[in-house]
Amino acid sequence: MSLLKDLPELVSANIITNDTAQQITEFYKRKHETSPNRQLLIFGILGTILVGTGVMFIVANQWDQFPQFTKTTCAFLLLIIPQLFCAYVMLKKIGKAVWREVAALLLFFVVGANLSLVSQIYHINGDASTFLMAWMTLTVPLIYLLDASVLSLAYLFMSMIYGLTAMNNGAFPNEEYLFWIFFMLPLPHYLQLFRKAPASILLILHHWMVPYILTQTLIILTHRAHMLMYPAYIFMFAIFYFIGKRPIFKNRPLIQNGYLIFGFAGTIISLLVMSFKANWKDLAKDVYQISNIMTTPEFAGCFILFVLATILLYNQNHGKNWAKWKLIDVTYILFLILFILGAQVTTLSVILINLLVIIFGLMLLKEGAKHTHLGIINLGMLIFALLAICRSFDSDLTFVVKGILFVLVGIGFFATNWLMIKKRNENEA
Amino acid sequence: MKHKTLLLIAFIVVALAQLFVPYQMISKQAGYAATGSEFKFKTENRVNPNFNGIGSDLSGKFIWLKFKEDHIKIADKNEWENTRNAYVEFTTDSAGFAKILSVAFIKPNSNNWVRARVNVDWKDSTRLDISYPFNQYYIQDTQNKKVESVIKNGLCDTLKVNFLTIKIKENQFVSVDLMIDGVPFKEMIREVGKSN
Repeated sequence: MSLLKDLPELVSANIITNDTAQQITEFYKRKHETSPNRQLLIFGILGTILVGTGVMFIVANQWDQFPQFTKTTCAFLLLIIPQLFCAYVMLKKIGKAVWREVAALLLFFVVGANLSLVSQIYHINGDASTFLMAWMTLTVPLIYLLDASVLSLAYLFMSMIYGLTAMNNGAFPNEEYLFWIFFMLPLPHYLQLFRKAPASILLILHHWMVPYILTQTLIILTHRAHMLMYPAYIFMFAIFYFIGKRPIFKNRPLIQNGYLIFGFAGTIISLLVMSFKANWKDLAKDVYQISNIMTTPEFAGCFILFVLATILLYNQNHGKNWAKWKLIDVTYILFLILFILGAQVTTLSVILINLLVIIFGLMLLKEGAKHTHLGIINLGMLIFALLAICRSFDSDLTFVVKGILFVLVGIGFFATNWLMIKKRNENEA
Repeated sequence: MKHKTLLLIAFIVVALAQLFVPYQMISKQAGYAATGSEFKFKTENRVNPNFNGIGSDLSGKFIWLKFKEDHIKIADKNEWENTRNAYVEFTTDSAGFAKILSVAFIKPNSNNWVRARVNVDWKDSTRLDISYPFNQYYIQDTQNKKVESVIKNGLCDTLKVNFLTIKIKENQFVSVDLMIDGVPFKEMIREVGKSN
C-alpha cells in the first residue's frame, strides 16, 4: 500500500498529524482483515480445475482395460469424494469463503463428469441439451447451500451453453425457452452479493457475466421474424446502459461496470450493423406485416424489453431538464422510429442511421472537449473510423470517396489529439 | 445451529439426488437391454482405396457403420432444410431386416424409435440422409490390427450379408452383435487372431 509507505513522510512534513496517521493505518488493517483472501481464492479455484483435469487424464489413459464394474465404481467414487469434502466444508469450514467456493466448484464439475462417464460406460444415448439440463438441475442448490459465487458464475455460463445447445439441437420443440428459468436461478444469489459485498471481485465478474450471457442468448428468441431481433438487441443494450448508470455504479471505476460498457458498445455496434442497407432487405417479407408479427415470440420479446427500457429511462431522467438528456438515453426510441420507417422507405432509414452514428461521434467529441478528456475524444474518433470502415464495404461509393473518408478520419485523429494536448498543456501552464 | 443442520440435511438430499440420477440411467439402460425390440440393420460399408483399404471406417475405438436403411425419399426439401434431428421409427421387412417406418418431427406412439440427425442430401434434394446414433460400433482398441483385416475382407465384402443386431426402445439402444456373414464380429476377431 503506497499510502501507508508515505505516512511517515506526510507526518514529518506536518501535512497530517500522528493521530491521523495512526487512524489511517488502523483503517487499512481492518479493511485487509475483512476482505476475503483473493489470491488464495484464485489459486484455490485454478488448483481445483487442474487437479480435476489431471485425474481425468490419468483415468482415461487406462480406461478401456478396466471391466465395466471398475469403471462404474471409479465414476461414482469421483462423485462421492467431492460430496464428502463438501459435507466436511459445511460442517467445519463454513465461514471460510475459499473452502466453500472450491468445494462447490469441484462438486459442480464432478457431477458433470460423473454423468458423462456413466453415459460413456453404458453407451447411453441422449441429447446434449438433456445432459446439460440434468447437470444444471443437480447442481443449482449448491450455489445457495455453500453460498458459492464462483459456482454462480460457472452456472450462468453453463446456462448460456444450454440455451444455445437447446436452440440448435434441442431434445424437444421450444426447449430453448427453459434457458430463461436456468438463467434466473442464480440471480437471487447475485442480488444477495450486491448487498453483502458490493466491492467483491466476484460481484464485478457477475456485472460482466450477466450482460455477456444475455447478449449471447437473446438470439434464442429468433423463430420466423429474425429482423425484429435488431430492435430487441438495441432495447436490451439500452437496458444495460441504464443499469450501468444506476446510483449503485456511481463513483466506481469503469472497468467494474460491465453493463455500461456492454450497453454503450452494443448500441453503437448495432447501429453500425444497421447502417448497411443489405441488412434491411428481409423487412420487405410478408412475415413483417403488422398482423403477422404480433404473434411472434420476437415481437413479445421486443415489447417486454421496450417497456423495461422505458421504465428505467423514466427512473433515470424524470424531473431532469430536457437539455441535460443525453443522445444515448433515447437512441433506442429513435431506432424504433427509424426501424418502422425502414419498413416503408429503407434508404431514408439507412441514411438517418448513418447520420445518427455521426451525431454520436460529434457528441462524444464535444463532451471530451468540454472535460478535456482524451479517452472520450478518441472514442468519438473511433466511432467515425468504424463508420468509415463500414462504408468502405459499400459498393456504390467510389474509391476516391472512400479514400477521402479515411483521410478525413485520420486527420481528425491527429488534429483532435494535438489540439487536446495543446489545450491541456495551456491549462496546466 | 438449527440453521446449519437444516442446510446439511438439504445438502444430503441434493447429494443423494446427484447419486440417484446416474444410478437410474444405468438401471434404465439395463431395462432397455432386456425389454427392447430387436432389429437387424444391414450394413453397407465398401472397400475404400485409402488407408490400407479401410478408408475412414475405423476411427480409434469405433467402426463407422454405413447402413442400407439410412435415407428416405422426400417430396418437399423446404420442410426438412432447417431440421437437424427427427424421430425415426422402425419396422421389419419380409426378410427380417430393419426398415424405416417413418421419419417425423413428433414422437411416435410405438417404442421402436430413435432420434437421429437428418439432412437433405447435397446432391439429390429428394433424398433425406439419416445418421443414426448407433452408427459407431465400439471395439477394444488393442485389437486394431485384427480388426483392419476383418473390415476389409468381411465387413466391406459386397457378397456377404452383414448386419448389426440392436435392441431399441424409446431412443435408447444396446448393440447386441455385429454379424459378418453369419459370424459374430467378436468371434471373427478371435479366429483371425488365432490364424495369425
